[in-house]
Amino acid sequence: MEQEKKILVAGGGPGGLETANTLARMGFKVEIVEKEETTGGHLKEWHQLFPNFRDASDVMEELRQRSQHPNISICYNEAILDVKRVNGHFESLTSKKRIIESDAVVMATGFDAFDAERKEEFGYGVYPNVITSVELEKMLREDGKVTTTDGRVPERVAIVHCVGSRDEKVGNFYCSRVCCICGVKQAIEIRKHHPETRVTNFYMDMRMSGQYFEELYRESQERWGVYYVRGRISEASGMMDGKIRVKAEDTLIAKPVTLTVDLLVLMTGIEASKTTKELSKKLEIESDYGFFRPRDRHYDDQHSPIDGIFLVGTAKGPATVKETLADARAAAQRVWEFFESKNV
Amino acid sequence: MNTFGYKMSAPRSINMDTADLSVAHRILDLEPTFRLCISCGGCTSTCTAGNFTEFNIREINLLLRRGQLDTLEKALENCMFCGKCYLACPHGVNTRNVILLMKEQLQEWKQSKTTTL
Ligand code: SF4
Repeated sequence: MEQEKKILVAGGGPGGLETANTLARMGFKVEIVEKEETTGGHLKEWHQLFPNFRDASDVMEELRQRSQHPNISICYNEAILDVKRVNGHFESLTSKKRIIESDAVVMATGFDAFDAERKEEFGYGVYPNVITSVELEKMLREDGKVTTTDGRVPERVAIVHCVGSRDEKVGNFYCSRVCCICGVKQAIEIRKHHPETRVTNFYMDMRMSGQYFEELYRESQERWGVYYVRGRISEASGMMDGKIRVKAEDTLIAKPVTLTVDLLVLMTGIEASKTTKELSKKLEIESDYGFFRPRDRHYDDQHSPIDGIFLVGTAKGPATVKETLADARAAAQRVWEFFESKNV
Repeated sequence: MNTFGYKMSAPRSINMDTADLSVAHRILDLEPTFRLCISCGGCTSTCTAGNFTEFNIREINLLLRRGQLDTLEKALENCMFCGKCYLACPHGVNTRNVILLMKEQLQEWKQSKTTTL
């Protein structure tokens, strides 16, 4: 069924792509505006996905293939700066000073990983062997080998949970929801590639919030021998030989612990992306922490308070890839209903 | 001659039915940030006293909330008020003030107990 209507999708990550793919198959014309030179968002930085180690590139490929649709056009290296409603349709200004006209807008502007330098006590940006989960993923993606800056396989690795999440000092009270399971996944991957390496995760709560997450946590202990210490690392100090010494309390024994590691991996949390923050503020539809605010969190989670502006995925808050894809299909459905209700 | 019998030990368990939470309530009202503690142990990890003595600053929150006031009072003697715990806390609990308040409130509590006797 061909539709008259045209929809602008801001952001070509998994959420934006899947919304566009669904809308295109419903017959709508879709224009995706992606700020980078390729689509895929953070998914293209990832090696394998939790909890089943599916290749991220496999999911990526599927999304990209489905977006090769005559109803979809994609513009790269371009960002949406502002959206205005003019006589019942939208005029959106882009960074290339173009005005894009559309009948609805979908915000799929996503998240940024927390900037680890803001948590000075972990020494990110000061000690080279302190890295983020994103950088570890890059190592795993490139050759599967995890190494320190001088190219050695680490004897010991510590993984720090909740970096930039659940932290009043950086203004993020919320839990990022995906980093616990990502920490478990990455610990297993290190052990798979380097069975001699000892991996210790420092956590405050292990939040296995999705299906099969708890099983993976169990597998990490049973099969891969990952160590878990319940306590937050209070500081990391660099040693002369490039190693990192961390201090925490093992709260279950109620004693301070220290551990020297070759590599310290920070599980950086999810924050509203710069574009998400700017647009949600400009359009006055922001909720806490700069994410977008849906109309109704139960019944209208994909529609913003403004008629015709829809919201998808991590632009609203932390979400997994699976949740984002489901959300995208729901958003497409909402767009369709929106135009249907207008026809009545 | 062999004597059989049972030796009774006092139960180790904390009786939360009879625990005195009055001091806890007062301190939580006077320093509301103390309600935000999630027992992560960042404070204990960095605590100067805790690295050399049995003092565990994370535990004082629990001792207070379980009405273990005698144990709490003894534990507090170790704190040197250096305030490093305050810097480490991810939830911005004003730990230094908490300890100060505990010392004050425990004194008052003891006095009120003797005067009512
Ligand atoms: S998912 Fe885990 S690591 Fe991430 S913020 Fe929540 S508790 Fe912390």
